[in-house]
Amino acid sequence: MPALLSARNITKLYGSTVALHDVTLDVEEGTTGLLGANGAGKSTLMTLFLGIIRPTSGDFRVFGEDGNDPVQAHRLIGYSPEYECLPPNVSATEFTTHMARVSGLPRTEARTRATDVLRHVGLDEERYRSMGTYSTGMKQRAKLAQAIVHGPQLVLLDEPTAGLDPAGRLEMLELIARTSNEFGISMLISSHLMGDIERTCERIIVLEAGGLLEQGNVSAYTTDTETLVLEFDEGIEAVAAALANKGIAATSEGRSLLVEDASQEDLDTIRDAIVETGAYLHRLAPRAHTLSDIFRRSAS
Amino acid sequence: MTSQTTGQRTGSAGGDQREGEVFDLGYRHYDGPRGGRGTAFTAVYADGIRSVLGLGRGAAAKLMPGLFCLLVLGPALFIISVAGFILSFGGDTDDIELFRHEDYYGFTFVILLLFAAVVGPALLSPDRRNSVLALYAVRPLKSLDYAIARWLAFLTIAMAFTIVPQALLYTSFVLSDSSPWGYFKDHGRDLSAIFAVGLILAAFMTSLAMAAASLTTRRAFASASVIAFIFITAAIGGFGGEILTSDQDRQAYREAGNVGEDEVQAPDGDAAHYMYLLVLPDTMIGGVSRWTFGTRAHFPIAPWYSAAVIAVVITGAFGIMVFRYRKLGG
Repeated sequence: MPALLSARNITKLYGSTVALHDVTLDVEEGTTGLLGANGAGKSTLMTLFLGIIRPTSGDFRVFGEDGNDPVQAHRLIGYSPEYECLPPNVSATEFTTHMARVSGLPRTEARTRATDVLRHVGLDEERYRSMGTYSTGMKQRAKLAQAIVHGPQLVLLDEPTAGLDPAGRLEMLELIARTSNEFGISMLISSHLMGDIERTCERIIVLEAGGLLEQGNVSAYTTDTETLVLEFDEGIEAVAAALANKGIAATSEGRSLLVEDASQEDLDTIRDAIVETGAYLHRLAPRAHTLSDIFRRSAS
Repeated sequence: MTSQTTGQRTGSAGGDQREGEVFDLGYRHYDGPRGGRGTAFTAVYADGIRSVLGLGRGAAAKLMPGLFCLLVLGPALFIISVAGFILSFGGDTDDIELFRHEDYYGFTFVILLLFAAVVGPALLSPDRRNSVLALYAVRPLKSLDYAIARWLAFLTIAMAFTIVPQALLYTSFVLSDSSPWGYFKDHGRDLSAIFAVGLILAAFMTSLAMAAASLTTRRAFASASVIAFIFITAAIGGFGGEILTSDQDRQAYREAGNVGEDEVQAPDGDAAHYMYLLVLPDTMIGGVSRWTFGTRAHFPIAPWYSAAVIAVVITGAFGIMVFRYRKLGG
């Protein structure tokens, strides 16, 4: 199965400003997070895949086809930009129906699906109100609704949690994950917040200053780089010294010792060291890294 | 994914009681037919018409279109009522020149100008201002489809404004004539003229309004620009023509007695009179409209000059819009 989106050596310049530099990546089925600070090139990459802008150099493909003629692909793509994009004097029902029509759906189907999708995103009662009266959370939901109303294969969501409070963010992420899982819609979600990506996405692409920093499975990052937590009631210093003697690096964090990426032999050595020193072990457990730990570590 | 679960009857008790049905109304995957560019274009066009008329919007959005409809139809309905009134008292309307079609277009010009200025920009400016264009840019549309569909939507409404009152007038003239068939035979040419002038006038106003709307995200600026364009070109044309016409020529023209003194513009062959073509209401109504209806233009400039000026304005304004929308989004 070819990648839904693929970029090969994409460079995008705005005058002398480099927005993307020699980026090569694939977006496959499922949920992919596009992580990066503001200005890292996330929106540029999305608008490029959408055919709104052209790359300065490099090739890109959408659903396996050359991305430079996107009209056909647009029938199966949904997009919600980072900024506000809803006409304030129109109701969500009217607007979502219209957008479904512009995506090519027949009239009656467009109307039915608009109602269904607005209920799905939690805009049931409010759907006849003008969208200018909506809160930020409701606007984000309406933006999601117009992006999925035509039953696309792939949806690009640019900062879908922007402007939301923590509770609102969680609800929005849960809605996105549910939409993707239940209906098999692949998603590319950009965010500058690690937590958003970690909670929703299976795969991750990290951009930094217009270049590709990392790409891969979220689970691979978090499980491959496990930390072993050893919590002691007493004798922590002795164990730390014993481990140092045996060549195992352990950092101390309060009453715990942390050992990174312990192999099977390491585990045996650690067990022996605890027995030898007679320390009171309270707890021994693996702790998966959060993505932020990983990138903080790679940055340092 | 189940789309609908029908036939799950629940209210079975009672013979005449309505039976309930349970529906699963959630979001579901779509495997049905998907139209392409044509469907998308039609949808933008239809939404444009709804937007101009304020359909699907609040009551306030319907106020202006409603008001202008009344304004543009009002005089036609008045004339028809007068004719009906005369006929009902056994009078004869044959000899009464109530209102000629080309004169009615002079009136339509003013109303349609105001309508195009006030309502027209709503088709383009707000979408750009509210960044809705980004959402159209990811639909199956080519870059210019959006702007052209909007242009056609306003043209459709503008043509209704130009032609519907004229059609009512024509019908009333036919029906109130002592010999309807005779009137129809004598004035058959009027029908094609009504259509031709209606189309040209509608295209003229549509292009102006859409060009202005494509240049600004503020509706008010676009509205003011449309009105200002007509007034400023008229002022340049009027004053320029006046200044360039020498007293001698004016006198010569007056003596030639082609037209009454009030309408003296410039003698034939004088470069100055081309300036008057910039007075666009005159060029449109006095030139193009009267020429099409076969009545004499009231200024001594060959009518194709008027037609050329109107064509240049339409093409230029349309070109501005096309230039501004050559790229959708981005």
